[in-house]
Amino acid sequence: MRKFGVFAQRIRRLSAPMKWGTIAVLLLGGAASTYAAIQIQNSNMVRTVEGGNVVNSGAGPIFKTPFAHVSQTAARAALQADPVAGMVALFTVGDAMFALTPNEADGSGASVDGFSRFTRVPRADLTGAGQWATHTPARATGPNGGSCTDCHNLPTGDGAGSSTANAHRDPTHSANLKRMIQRNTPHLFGGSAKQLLAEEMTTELQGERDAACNCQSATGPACSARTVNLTGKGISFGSLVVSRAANQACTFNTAGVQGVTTDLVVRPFQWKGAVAHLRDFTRDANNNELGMQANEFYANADVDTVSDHDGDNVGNERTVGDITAMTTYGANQPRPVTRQELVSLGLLDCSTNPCSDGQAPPNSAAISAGATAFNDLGCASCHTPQLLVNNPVWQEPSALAAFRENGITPGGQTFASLGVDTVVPVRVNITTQIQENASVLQANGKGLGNLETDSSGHAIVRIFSDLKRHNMGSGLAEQIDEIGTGASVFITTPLWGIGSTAPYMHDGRSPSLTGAILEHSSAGAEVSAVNAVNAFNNASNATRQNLILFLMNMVLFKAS
Amino acid sequence: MTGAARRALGGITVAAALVASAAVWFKSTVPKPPATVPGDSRVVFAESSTESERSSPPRSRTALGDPAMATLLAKNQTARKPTNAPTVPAAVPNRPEETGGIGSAGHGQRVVVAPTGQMAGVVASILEAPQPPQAPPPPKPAELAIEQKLSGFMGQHPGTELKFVACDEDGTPCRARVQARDLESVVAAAKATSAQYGGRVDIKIHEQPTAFNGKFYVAELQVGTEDKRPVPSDVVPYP
Repeated sequence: MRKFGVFAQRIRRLSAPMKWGTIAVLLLGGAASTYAAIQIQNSNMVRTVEGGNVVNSGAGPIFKTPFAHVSQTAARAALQADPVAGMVALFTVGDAMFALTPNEADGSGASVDGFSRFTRVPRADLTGAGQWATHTPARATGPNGGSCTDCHNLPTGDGAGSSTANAHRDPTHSANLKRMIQRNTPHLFGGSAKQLLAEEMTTELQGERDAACNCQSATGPACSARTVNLTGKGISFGSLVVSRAANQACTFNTAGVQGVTTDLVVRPFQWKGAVAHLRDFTRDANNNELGMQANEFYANADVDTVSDHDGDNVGNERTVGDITAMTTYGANQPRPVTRQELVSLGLLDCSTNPCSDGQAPPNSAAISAGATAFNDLGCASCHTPQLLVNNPVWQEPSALAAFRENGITPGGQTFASLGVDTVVPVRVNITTQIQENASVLQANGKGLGNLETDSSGHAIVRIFSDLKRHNMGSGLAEQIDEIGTGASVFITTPLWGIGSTAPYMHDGRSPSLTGAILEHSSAGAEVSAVNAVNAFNNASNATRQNLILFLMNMVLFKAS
Repeated sequence: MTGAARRALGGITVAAALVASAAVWFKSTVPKPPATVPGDSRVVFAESSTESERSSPPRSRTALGDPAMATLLAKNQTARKPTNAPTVPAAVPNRPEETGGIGSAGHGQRVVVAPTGQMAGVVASILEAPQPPQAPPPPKPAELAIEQKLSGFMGQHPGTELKFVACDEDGTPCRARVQARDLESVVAAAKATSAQYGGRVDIKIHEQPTAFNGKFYVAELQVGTEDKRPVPSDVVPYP
C-alpha cells in the first residue's frame, strides 16, 4: 500500500494531460490484461465467430471455415484403394497444414501463464495449473511460432531460419538461463532421403552386431567374446565386443561405439542426432514450437476430442491422420540443388551479372577447384559428399521397428490399432514420386525434387554428411549436455543447400561460411576437424575462395 | 459527473480511440493472406489411373494443355508458402456465406478442400466428417490396478515417471512405460514393478534421446506374463 501511495503521489504531480493520459493507459492496460485472460479461455467464441483455420477451402482470411482434420481410417482406405493417390492426398493436406496459421479455435499456442499464448523464453518457472511447466508432454521451448513457415522460411518455405528464429530451450526445466540452449532452424529439404540413409545404416550396424554371435536369437550356444567393427555405408562407427553365455542373451560392451547411440540406431534429425524418423520430428515440433498437440501423445488418441493438455482450452489439436499428412508432406520435400543446375534448367537467369538471385554467375572452374579443395583440405572426412540409398522407397510407418517406435504410440496405444500399420503404409519413391518441385523437370525427365539414381537404381544422396556424431570442441560446447553424448558433440551437418542457409552452426553464430569453418577448431575437437581447419588456414586465398564458391553453389530451390 | 471524472472519461475515450485507430491502421497494413486452395496439383500422376501410366515420367504442369487447369493452378500458386520463384497475384477470397462457413454449424463443420482434377475426391475423402465432442473413456480396471501399484512407487521416487499403462482387449499382457533421467532410477522402478507381480513382468530398458527434452532411460514393461522374467540392470539393444 505504501508503494501504491508513492505511485499515486507521483501521478498527482504530473501535468493534467500527462496525468489523465497515464490514468487512461493504466485503465486500458488493465482492460487488456482482463481481455487476455478471457482470450485464452474463450476458444469457443473464436470458433463460433471465425471458425478454425488449419485446413480451409479458400473461404478467405476474415472468416475462416471451421476446423477440419484428417481421418487416419479414411486415409488408410484411400491408400489401400490407390497408394499413389492416397499419398498425394495426404501430401496435399499436409502442405496446407504446414503453411497455414492455426487460430485459438484450432489450439494454436498454449497457455504460457494463463494469459500469453507464445513465448520465446522457456518458462519452467510457471508451474500453476495449465501453465508452461505443467503441459503434457513436457515442453522444452515455445510455443514460438504460429506456423511452421514462421521459422522455416529462408530462402523459401521449408527452408532454414534466421538467427531471430532461433529456438531457446530448457530441456531439464531448470528455469535457469545458464542451463538453456538455443538452436538455429535447419532446412527440411531431402528429409526422406536422410531417414532412408539412416535406416539402411542402422540395419547394417545392427546386422554386424547380431551376426557375431547370432544375437538376433534370444538365446543360443555359448559364444566367446569377440570384437565387431561397426561400419555403415562405409563409415566407421567404432566397434563393440559381443559375447554370450550358453542359453543366455548376448551381452555387449559398447565402450568402443563411436558417433551413434549404443543401440546403433542412426538418428539423422536435430542438431545432435536425437530423432530417428520424420513422424517423431513432426509430432514433437508441432507440440514444442507451435503448441499443437498430437493426439497420439495420449491414451485414446482415436476417440478423445476434448482433453486439453496445454491449458489453451482446446483438445484434438492434431489427429493421428493430421500427423500422417504432415509427415507425408515432410517426406516429399525436394532435394537441394546447385546454382549450376538451376542455370542449366533455365530456372536461374545469369544472362547478366549478377544473376536473377543477386549473386555472381556460377564459375564452373572455381566450383570444380573448390570441390577438389573440399576433399584435399579434409572436409570430406566427415562431410561425406554422397551416400547411396539401396531401396529408395520411404514408407510411413517404417518397415524397421526402431524407425516406427516399435509400433507403440507415446500414449501407449498400438499404431496399428489407430490405422498406422506396415500393411498399408504411405510410400514415396524418392527417385520418382517426390511431389515438391515435381512441376519442374530435370534433365532426366523426372521432377526436380527427385533424387538422382545410379545405374543400379540406387538413390544418390549428395548430402555431404556421414550422419555421425562428432566432438566439435569446447568452443561449440553448449551449457548443458542435452542428450548425454557430450555438450560439444553434434551430428555432422548435411551441407546440401548450405548456400541458402546462413547463418551457420547450431546456434547460428556464424554469418559466413568462412566463420563456420573456423568454428570447427577448438580445444577437444576431433583431430580430423582441427586438421581441416589448419589446412584451410594454410591454403592460398584463391583455394579458400574456391572452396566457398563450391559451397555457395549448393542451394535450396522451390518452384511456386 | 465531476470535472475530474469527465476529464478521466475523456482521457480514456481519447486513448481508446487512438488505440483503436492504431489497430485499424495496423490491420490495414498487414497483407491479408491469400485464399487457400491446398489442392495445388503437384500431382505427378493426377491424371493417371493405371500402374503403367504411373510408372511413366511425370509431366510438367504447364504441359497439361488445359486452360481451366492452368487457371486453377495459377490460383493455387498464390496460396503457397514463400518460394524463391515468382508468384502471380492473389485470388479474391470467397465470402463466408458462400461456403456456408459461419452461423450454420460452428464447431465441427466440414471443410471442403479444393484440389484439382481427380484428386479432389481423394483429398475430400480423407478429411474427417464432423465429430461431436467426445470425452475419453474411463481407464479399464486392469489399467487402473496397474497404475495404482506403479504410481505408489513413482511417488516415492520423484525422478521416475509413469508414461502410460495400456491394456488391449485381446488378453495380451498390459503395456506400461516408465522413464527417468538416470539408469539407476529406471532399474529400481523395474525391480519394484517385478516384485509387485511376482516376477511376471517382461522388462526392456533402453536409452531414448528425444527431440526436445534431452535423454531418458525408458523401461518398456509387459505386465502379467505367463512366466517369470529377469529384471535387467542395464540397457538392452533396441528393440
